[in-house]
Amino acid sequence: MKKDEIIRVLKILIRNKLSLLGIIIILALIITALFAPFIAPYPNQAKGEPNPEEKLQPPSSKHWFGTDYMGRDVLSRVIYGARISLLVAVAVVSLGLLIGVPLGLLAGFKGGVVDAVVMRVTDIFLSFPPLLLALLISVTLGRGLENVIIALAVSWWPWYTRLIRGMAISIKEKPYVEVAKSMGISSWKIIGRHILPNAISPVIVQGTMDMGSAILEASALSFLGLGVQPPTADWGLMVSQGKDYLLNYWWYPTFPGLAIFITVLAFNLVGDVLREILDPRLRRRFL
Amino acid sequence: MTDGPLIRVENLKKYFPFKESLFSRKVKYLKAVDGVSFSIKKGETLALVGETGSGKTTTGRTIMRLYEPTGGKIYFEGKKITKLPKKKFQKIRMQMQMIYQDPYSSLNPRMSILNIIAEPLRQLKVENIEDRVLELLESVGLSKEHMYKYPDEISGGQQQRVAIARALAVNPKFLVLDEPTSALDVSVQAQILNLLENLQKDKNFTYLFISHDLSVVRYISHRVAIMYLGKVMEIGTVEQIFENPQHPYTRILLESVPIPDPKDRRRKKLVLPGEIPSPLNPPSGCPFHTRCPFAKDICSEKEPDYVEVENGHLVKCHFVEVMK
Amino acid sequence: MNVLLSIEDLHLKFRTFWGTAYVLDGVNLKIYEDEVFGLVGETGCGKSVTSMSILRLLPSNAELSGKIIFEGQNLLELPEKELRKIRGKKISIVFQDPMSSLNPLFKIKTQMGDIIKLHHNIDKDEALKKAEKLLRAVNLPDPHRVLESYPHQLSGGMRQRIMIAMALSFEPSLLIADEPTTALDVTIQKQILDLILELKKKYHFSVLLITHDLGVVAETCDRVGVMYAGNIVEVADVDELFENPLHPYTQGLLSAIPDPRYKKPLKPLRGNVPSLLEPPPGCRFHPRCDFAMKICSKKKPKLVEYSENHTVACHIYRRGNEK
Repeated sequence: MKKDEIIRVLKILIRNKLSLLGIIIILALIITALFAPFIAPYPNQAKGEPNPEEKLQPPSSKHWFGTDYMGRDVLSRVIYGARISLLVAVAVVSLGLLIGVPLGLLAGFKGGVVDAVVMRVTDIFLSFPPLLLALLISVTLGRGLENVIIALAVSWWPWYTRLIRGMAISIKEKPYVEVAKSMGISSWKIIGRHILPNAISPVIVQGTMDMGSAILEASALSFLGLGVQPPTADWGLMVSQGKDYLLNYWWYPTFPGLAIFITVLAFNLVGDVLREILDPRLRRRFL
Repeated sequence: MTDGPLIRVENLKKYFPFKESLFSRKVKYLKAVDGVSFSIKKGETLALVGETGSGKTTTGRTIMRLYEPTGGKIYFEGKKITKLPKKKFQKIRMQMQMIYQDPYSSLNPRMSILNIIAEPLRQLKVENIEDRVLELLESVGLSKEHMYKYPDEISGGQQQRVAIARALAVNPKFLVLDEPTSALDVSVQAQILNLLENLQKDKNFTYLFISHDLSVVRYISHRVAIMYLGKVMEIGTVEQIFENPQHPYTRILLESVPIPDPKDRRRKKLVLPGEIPSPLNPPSGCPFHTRCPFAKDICSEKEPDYVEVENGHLVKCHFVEVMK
Repeated sequence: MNVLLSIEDLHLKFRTFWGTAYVLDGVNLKIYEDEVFGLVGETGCGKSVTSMSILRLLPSNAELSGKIIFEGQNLLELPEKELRKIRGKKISIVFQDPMSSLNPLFKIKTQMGDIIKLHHNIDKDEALKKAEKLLRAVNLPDPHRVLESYPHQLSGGMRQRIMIAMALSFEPSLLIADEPTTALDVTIQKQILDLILELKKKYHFSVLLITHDLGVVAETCDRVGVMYAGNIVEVADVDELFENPLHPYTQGLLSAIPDPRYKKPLKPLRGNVPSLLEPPPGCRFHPRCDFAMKICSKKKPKLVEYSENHTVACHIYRRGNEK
């Protein structure tokens, strides 16, 4: 993308109230994640150190979000949880893009057998409910953060493949691609210079929104006990552990749940506005 | 070879297969181009004129082998290129470039003008690329300030100039101009037409000018071929076609063109009834007989041959002699 | 002649992705009863949005000010409910692409019938009879078959005839035709233009014909307004305009178009249409004008009467003063 176009897109994202809110939340999350040890009131408890004297305390000035069944400060653990969540989001989406985009470009541009093979493989992946597939892979690979990321990325890439293949097919019919071909430019250069830069916008939008979904699904896997293992502070895991305490100790699952909700919402807000800006037909609405 | 035509097309055919319905087994053919022959001399402009569905664009694209011809032969500088393998054809293909109707879609919106024009130069391993790009930009009436802009930052006319500059980068001999000005405003259209004309004078380019606009054709071309439903109905020099049209279709087409002179309005004009038939289901005999005010029985039965009414002026009609 | 519609000092702004575009910059225009008025100009000159302003069919990012007087009412101040009584009835519009005005999923019969039924308060059979009559009026052969067809089964010319028939169903006093033949082939264009003129003769409505094609103007219009970058620069009778164009832009346009009758040298206008985001100050044409003077970049010229039925907005001409 051109420099001034990026600046203009950023300007609009900031001028728009909803996306500004999203951006602020995401920035806050990133800062929180980076500086967690300095922000969290009880970093050691966030890392897992039990504090049996203060079990299941309600929110107070000492523990804003209360404490969990081991007496650990929920606020500190939510702050540390941002690290895991953002890591999962970035890693899953990047891996998904890394696999999905090249395959989609190749399938769309080459067509024929290549297209048929790639698309049948993606069809197979897409025929599973995404969470179920991730679940199966997770079970096979075993527990742990890396395995959650791999499991989610594997269930994720076909969406990008399909999206970018569609774009590639419509772009390869454009006269400028025809001209490049007629001038003897190699397929790789055509894909890199002409197809990819023009096909990527919807993928960027999808990727932004998917950051939220990846967090959600990673949380689901943690909730089911397949993801990150205790005592690591992870939002999904905290909700899972806290669910049994919901009736009497509401703060325990509520605050990590809220964190998931707000993060997913933030990514969706930015993604939504981004889509409208990057789509010239919708551009007019955001001024 | 110097005297021979640069491009010669013999009985060119391009059929597209289609099925009548989703489930029918029978494959039918849309005869987009059905037996077209002509030749273009070096430095000459031949205009292909016709309405929607006449096959004029398909003809142009088939000559460049963007579509593989179904039948017929194409010669470039006396050499048959129809059956040439792709690798060998690539060298000749560089000498044939196409300019498109919509200049914006012929430029990659994510590339700067410099990179757009530099791409073919890099391919040809040209040195001092920036200097050469500037030279090319200046030859189409643009300047250095346009070099670092992007296609959506310049006007439609300037976009078309960039597309022309890019085509010039590979030193072509033959340009297929597919309605190059129909997306442009009239004031800009004149700029592009003049540019094309001057380039032709300077570099002795050969043009195949595809257009539906007879006023533009009158201005730019040396010879004109009138197409209807995949066939050439009449071909001749621009004077022969515009001043002495023989085919009823040509005559009515010329009468239908709005003339920018209110005084002309009072003249009674022929109006062509009905619409162009679907090329999926073309009429028998002469394709024009369903709309022709002079049609007789024979017209629906037998396809007319070409009659040479003057030197190089061919007409595909049963009644040319009679109408004289 | 009586004035049917009068546009007074119409300004229009669009807020866009790239900034505010000053699309109309004080348009003044009168359309008389029973005439064909041609509004001609290039892309972005504002000819289409002028017609859309008349019916207030503008997107939500538009800001409109000025007056549009029709039958003694200012259309811009009329409540939406009142405007609906005028839109499509007293003032009808036909667009360039008839396909976008027809729903591809319904037969012509359904689409025409519904509209006629709704607005005329008659039952289905009567509505269909009226539809058939209208289709006959626009010279569509075999109206029965047309009514039973879906839009995609008809050609562009036939669809445009249907749009004209629908526009006529309420006997409008003004028909706005926005590039009605631009998407059509020349032989079909001729048929449609002839049809509009024939119907106009029969029903005595006025036509506001919007086009970029000076040939079409010469063949169909009685009076012409030339627009450039949001301004009307010249208005005259059609013969007068082609014979004695006053504004440098009009002159430039006329010498830039090729003539199918003979090969004449083309004199293109310099430069390009200005961006409406940052229009040039003063006369918006001055950067491209060969006769530009100092005043042209400072003061916007007013539309003044040069001779009877010929007005021009250019500093070269002052009232009652030949050149």
